[in-house]
Amino acid sequence: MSSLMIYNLSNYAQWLGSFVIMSLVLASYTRYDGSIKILGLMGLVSVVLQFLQTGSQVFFGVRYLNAIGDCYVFLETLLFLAFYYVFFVNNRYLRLALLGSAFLSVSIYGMVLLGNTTYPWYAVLSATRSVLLIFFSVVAFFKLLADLPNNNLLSIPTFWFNSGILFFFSCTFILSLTMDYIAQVLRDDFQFFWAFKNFLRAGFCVVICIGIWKARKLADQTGPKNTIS
Amino acid sequence: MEPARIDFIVMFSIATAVMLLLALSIILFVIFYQKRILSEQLKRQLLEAGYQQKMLEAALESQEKERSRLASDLHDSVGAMLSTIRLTLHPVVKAGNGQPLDQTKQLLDETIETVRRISRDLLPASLERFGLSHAVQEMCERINMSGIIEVQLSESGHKIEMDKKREVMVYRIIQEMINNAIRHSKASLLKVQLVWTETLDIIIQDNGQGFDYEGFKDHHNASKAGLGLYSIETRVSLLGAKLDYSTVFPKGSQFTVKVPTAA
Repeated sequence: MSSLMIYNLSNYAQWLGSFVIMSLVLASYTRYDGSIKILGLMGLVSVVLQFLQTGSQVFFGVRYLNAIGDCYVFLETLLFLAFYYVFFVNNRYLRLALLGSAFLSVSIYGMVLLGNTTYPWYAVLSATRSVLLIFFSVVAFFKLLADLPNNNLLSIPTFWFNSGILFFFSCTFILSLTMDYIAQVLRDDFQFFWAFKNFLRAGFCVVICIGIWKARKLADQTGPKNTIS
Repeated sequence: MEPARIDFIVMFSIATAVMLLLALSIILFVIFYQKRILSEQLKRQLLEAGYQQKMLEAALESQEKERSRLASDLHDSVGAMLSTIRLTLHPVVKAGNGQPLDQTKQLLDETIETVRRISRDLLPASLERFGLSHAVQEMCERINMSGIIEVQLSESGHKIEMDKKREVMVYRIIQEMINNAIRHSKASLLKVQLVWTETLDIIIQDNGQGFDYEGFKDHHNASKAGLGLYSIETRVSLLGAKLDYSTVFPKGSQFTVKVPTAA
């Protein structure tokens, strides 16, 4: 199996994962609260941008449009921050930190747009958001422990969302840091590393789907409830 | 493959594996920490429940002791004095022919009977001497003799020896249930069944007006009747028994208590 085939396979796997997330949320949109709707929107953004990327390759013969990838990373970062903004509903300081993080992301993306080279900034944005999201997921875990000590954690959707975020961004942190080096020095292996990232994202999607399924079960029992105060 | 490339891939793999392990250890820590909190909470709740049960047992035991003391005081002291007065009054009644003295003697007889009844209700001597079945039978006979309500007692199965403390609690449950039926059901017939199997099943059925059991269970709004039911439930809980209520058609109600014969 060639590295291109592996890359394509990984691409379809993560695309399918995003599609499933989007479908699950859209299927029962009104039953879920804000944080899950944001995850659904993230799935939608991923599906649409992936479609544009593939379309540009098929119809216009463009190998890879960096602008679409950059746009996706930027939007995904903002959506993840929005997810935690909804989750930390009653914590003013964490919400301020999230707003600060969003501002930081917008600033870095602004530099990407203004600058000529994309990859260094892309790597900076990617690594920064990994650190930020790892931090917020750990804080969210501790908040879950503090606020819901009597519930079975495995039945709480937020536990799965957090686990997915922590798992994905921890594993891709090193990749984000070294992306610039890989793109410039290990050009031949780039597809292999990117495929690794895509497979991790497919795994992340599976964990998020478990969380949405748990939220659906919870909504069947008690009505929409996922945020904690 | 170039050595630099191999080095990078090795370093990359190790660093990513370390990050993955860190993430997994955080997730596992959260899961196990929460489980530990839950198990500690459960332990504390069990301890509290055990303590509460012991407190209830002690309260009921002291109540029984107090009843026993009162019963023996009434029987041995007040009852004996009243009997002595009756005996000393007897020759005076016989010698004289005044109606007031006859009335006094009659009142005295009634008082002696009332003292005996109160004493029996407080602590039936037959429960101590002959056991639960006999004491319940005696209670039913007494009620039948009073003519307030007809009580039919039936007993089936092989009797199992029970601890005295448990017998007293079972007796109090039956007593309270019969009293409730007499006071509130407006029934003319009360059936009491004692069925001995692995458990002792007490079935008390009346042909009265029935009642709203759930409403009665609301102890906060309950009055005296609610307290009666509360004391039944407390004893049922201490015995590790199970209390069921059902409506009997066309009218009436039925209480079933399943009491484990061993503690």
